[in-house]
Amino acid sequence: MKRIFALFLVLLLLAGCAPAPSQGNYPPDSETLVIGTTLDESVYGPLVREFEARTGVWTLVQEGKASELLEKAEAGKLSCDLLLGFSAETLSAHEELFAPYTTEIPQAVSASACCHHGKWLPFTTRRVVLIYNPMLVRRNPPTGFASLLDPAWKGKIAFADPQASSSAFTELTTLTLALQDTPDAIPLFRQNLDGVLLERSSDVVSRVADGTYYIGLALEEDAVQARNLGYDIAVVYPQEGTCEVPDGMAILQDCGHAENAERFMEFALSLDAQEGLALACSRIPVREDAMEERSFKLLPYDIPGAAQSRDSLLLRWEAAA
Amino acid sequence: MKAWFQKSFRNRLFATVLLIALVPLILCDVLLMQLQVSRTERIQQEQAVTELNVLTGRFSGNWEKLEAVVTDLVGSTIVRSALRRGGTDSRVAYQLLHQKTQGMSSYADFEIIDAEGNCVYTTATVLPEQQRNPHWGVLHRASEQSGVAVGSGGNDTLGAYCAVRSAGGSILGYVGFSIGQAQFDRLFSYEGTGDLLLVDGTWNAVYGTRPGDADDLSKALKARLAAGKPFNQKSDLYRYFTAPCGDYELILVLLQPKAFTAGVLRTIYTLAFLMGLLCFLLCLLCAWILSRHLTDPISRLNSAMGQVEQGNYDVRIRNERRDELGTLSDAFNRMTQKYHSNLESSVQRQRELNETQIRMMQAQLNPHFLYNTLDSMKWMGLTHGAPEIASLATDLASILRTSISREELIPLEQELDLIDRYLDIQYIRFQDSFACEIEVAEQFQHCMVPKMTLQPLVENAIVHGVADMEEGYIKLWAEQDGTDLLLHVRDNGAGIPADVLERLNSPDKQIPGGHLGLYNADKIIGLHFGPGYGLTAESTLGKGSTVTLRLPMI
Repeated sequence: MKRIFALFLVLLLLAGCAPAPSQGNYPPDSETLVIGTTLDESVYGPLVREFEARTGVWTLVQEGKASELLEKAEAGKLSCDLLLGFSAETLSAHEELFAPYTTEIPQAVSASACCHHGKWLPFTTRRVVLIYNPMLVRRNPPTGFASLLDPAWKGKIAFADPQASSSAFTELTTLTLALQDTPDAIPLFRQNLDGVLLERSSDVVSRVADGTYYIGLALEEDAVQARNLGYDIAVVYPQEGTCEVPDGMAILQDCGHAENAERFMEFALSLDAQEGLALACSRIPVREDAMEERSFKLLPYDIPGAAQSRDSLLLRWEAAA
Repeated sequence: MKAWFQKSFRNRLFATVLLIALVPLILCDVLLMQLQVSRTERIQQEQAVTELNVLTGRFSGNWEKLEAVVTDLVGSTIVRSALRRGGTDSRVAYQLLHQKTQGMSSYADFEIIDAEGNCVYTTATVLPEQQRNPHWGVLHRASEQSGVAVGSGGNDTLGAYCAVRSAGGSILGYVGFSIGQAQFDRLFSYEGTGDLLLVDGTWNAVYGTRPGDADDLSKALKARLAAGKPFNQKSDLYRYFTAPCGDYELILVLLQPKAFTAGVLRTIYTLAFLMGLLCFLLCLLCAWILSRHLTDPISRLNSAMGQVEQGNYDVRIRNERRDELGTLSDAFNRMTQKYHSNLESSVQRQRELNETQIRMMQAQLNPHFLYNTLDSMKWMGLTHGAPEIASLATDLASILRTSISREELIPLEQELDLIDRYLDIQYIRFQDSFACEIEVAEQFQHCMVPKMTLQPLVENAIVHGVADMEEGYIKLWAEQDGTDLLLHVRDNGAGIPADVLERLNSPDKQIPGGHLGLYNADKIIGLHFGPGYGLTAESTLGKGSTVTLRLPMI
């Protein structure tokens, strides 16, 4: 009697079990890579897909804000192997999170673009440029950083908050560097903004494009990308010269797939990839042999120095309000 | 649990009814549901597999044709020379292109691309303007291998290209095709209820019947696979089935809408559970009521019985039922009442007996004292020269001895001896004014008679018969009547008055005034031997009377 009952129960259970449907293919763990990035998909997409196609490594991308990702990384809760597209200052400031790499830096990458401690590599170059809306600014377009101090543009300058945006911080540092002979450059600039401070640096381009502001301080690739999308943006290299600051990539400490992360970094710095980035994503390569010749004066940007003096610069900025 | 079970008949009944009602219900519920769900899923799975087979077959078939076209074009000298020459105006090249691609153009756009990545000839309506990067993507791969390379063709298409090389090995250009959304639709011609998703080797979306969702879905599934999580999860709205598609690491995913989504299943399970709960409660209620209905009267009987045992005889069971249990309750009531009254009468009798015993014991005097006193009287009589006193004392002592003795029945011989002594005393008292003759045959001497029963008769004959006469005569004789012994005492005295006679002869004698002895004798015989035996009397006024004792012959 008991046996019959047990058999019956088993049949009942079996009736409840459905056969397993066909599964997808699972990649071996050694063939995966997780990237954390602040970049948009239009930028990292082509690069990542090409990397996958060439190496067969399954690459998953986690998008997020720089502050969020770094917070998680500090708490040890970030499941990424590689951070991509973070600003140089940010990477320098958080070097303790990263593992040193063994990839050889291609010679074509300028030494100034690198960090000296071997913790992160440059990815693309970001140039600080002036932009203006050619529909609104027919005559006397801005020519350099000095134009930003011109009271004629008061209240019509688009600029992001350097406290919140690392790109804006870079732009501010460049401005300070270019106008180092001008005393009170920062207070003058701030006053000329007349209280206008945008949240994100990407808003600068869109606001100038839609006519809210006339001129603005932005990064070249944002402007070029907007132009490719059809917006009317004019780009001006400041006559004082401008700085190039790379954004970088770094491997996180104790990540699961350090080898694949290094492969990615190597690929990202290869000529094909850098040229591909330029063509597909309108980014400026960090390799000298991939980028177009410069038509402006290049000012030297001290990345570690800028990171160190960040707080004092921001204090000066706040004081000028 | 076991104790609860064994303690009460009602609990067993309750549990049984509950089980009978509940087990089939639950089995049906669970079994049916499970069977239904799994059967449906199995059918759907088979359907999905079939569909996938059809689709991948269709794809492979068409792909072969497309590839064949590419191979043809790559090998063609016309294409080579057109590429070498450059420009986009070779008529023969176009002709060849259209000729080779006849019938296939609904599935793909064929292109001939130069070494710099410019598209120079195409079957699409317009030449794409954008220059392709030959060091990137599918063109790069095509340049690294011989044969067809497959990859993203730009603008959400799938591209397949083959490099055209010169005799020296340098690349003249590329020939290939790209398949766009609409062309994929035609390629697969999927008409099922679900959706399709085509992904490459690293799970990037190539094509989806729902183009907006294709990217998101492929990313989600890719993340699941990379993390090692189960491919199909309970919370999905679709079931995913995969099959390899073609030879280039493409995977076709079939999205089959779930018949039982997680939400539906949850609803079903919740409903089933609620229904089960409801039924359980109902069964509980019914089982409870039923068992109570059956066992309530029994428990009432039980408790009433307990009360009776404790001594409360007034308890009665209230009963409205007419069935067997009702009859039982009525019987109980009657029985208790009868028992109660029996008990009361028994108690009453016991009380009477006790009183009698007390009286009896009070009446008993210390016999030794009596004997000693009589003995003293005898010796004193003898020593003082009064032998009649000694004789009186001796006789009295003897009579007393017999009357106090424990034996209820004595031989007739002994009773007659007692009467002799009594007569001795009476002769002295009444100075021989009467004579008594005893005539009892030898065979009767051994009969057992109750003691002191003949003596009252003789006493009565003396006291009420011959006491006042000069020549009184009493005769005592025995007679056998069947199995009975008759003892007669006749005197020739005044006779017994009629009313007294009547009372003496009546079966239910009341105590006649002054004739206590006769009454006692009759009573004693009656108590010993039963109602048929006792005393009767005959008398003629003035002539005499005869009192008869009837006893069984023992």
